[in-house]
Amino acid sequence: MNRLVILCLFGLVAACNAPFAAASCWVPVPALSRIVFSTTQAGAPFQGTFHDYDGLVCMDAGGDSHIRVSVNTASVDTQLPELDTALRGPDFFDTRRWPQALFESETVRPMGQGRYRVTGKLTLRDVTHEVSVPFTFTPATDGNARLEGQLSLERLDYHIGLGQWADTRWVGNQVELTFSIVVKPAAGK
Amino acid sequence: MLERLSQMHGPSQQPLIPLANTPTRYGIVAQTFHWVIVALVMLQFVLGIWAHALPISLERLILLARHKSIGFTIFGLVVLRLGWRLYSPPPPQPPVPHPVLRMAARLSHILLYALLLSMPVIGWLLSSASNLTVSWFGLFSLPNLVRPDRRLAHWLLFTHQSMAWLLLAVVILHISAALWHHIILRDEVLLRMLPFTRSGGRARNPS
Repeated sequence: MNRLVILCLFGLVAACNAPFAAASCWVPVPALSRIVFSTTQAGAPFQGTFHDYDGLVCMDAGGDSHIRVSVNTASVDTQLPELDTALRGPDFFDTRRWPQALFESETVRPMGQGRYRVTGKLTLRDVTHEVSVPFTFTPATDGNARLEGQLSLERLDYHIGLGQWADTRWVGNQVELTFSIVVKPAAGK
Repeated sequence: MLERLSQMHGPSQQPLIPLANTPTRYGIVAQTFHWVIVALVMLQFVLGIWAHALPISLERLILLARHKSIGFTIFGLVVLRLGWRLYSPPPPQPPVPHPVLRMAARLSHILLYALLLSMPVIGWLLSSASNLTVSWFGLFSLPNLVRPDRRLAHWLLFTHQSMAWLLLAVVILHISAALWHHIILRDEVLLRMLPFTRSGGRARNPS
């Protein structure tokens, strides 16, 4: 590492990039991945998914990991077309005004055995809160890796479900966001 | 309290309606099943039609949640009612002018039971196919019977609605037949399913 830093100081660009190559950055493959949200409706469990997202996951053993994920909120899918339309509307994600939900990491702390805890800013609509999410990062034999974890949040904290939908007796406030994302090496990053 | 109750029933000290069915009338258990199911089915029509007319909203979510809970309740009550029917057989059907009418009465009763049992199941399937797990008044959730499937849900909704109109038609036939017995045939078929009427009145006092 020291030698790399010295080489870097000498302006050797290739050496400078080397730690990042080792850190390795990855991008999601949505076709092989799942982002599921689980809550309740009328007291019964209810699930939906997001199909479309992008991001960059840079894992660095040296502690300079970074994760950024953006979800296309219009890709919400509850298998109920009428409800999906409502979820894209102004009372929920308001996808026309805020087409992206964003997560930007601040720290990624290794917990050992492929486990990590990422802390960062989650933005839904125009509301940003800090969240802390434990996850696992598991390299696969095919050169890809899998990122898995779960995050619990309260939808009203992010103004999801306004007006009549703010009723938490019929539409649960607690939302579990479960992700299992296959990432592939990012090209040219 | 018990004394006063027995006084209300007169010197015979017999309750107004027996618990079990007798050869001349339905007992209090069978009557309660009948009239509670009548009230719940009427409520189901109101909730179903009302919800169907609404756009997606919290109001519709609540109406349909109630509709599903009540539907499951009706299913349970009909199962219990059939069990009670086995334990305490209903009074025999009175003679009707034509064997075809007797057959029609039998068939319409079978159809009523069949619809009351199958409509909740079709509704449950519809809910499962729509990715909406059914909760019984928020107390427990029913397992999903099928995976979410838009085309299946569409077909199940059509079936559920068609069955509702068929049920309405059979109910109208059922009410008409009861009134026909009461007004034209002047027998006890209607009275024996009504509380607060003494059985055998008509037989004892033919007018």
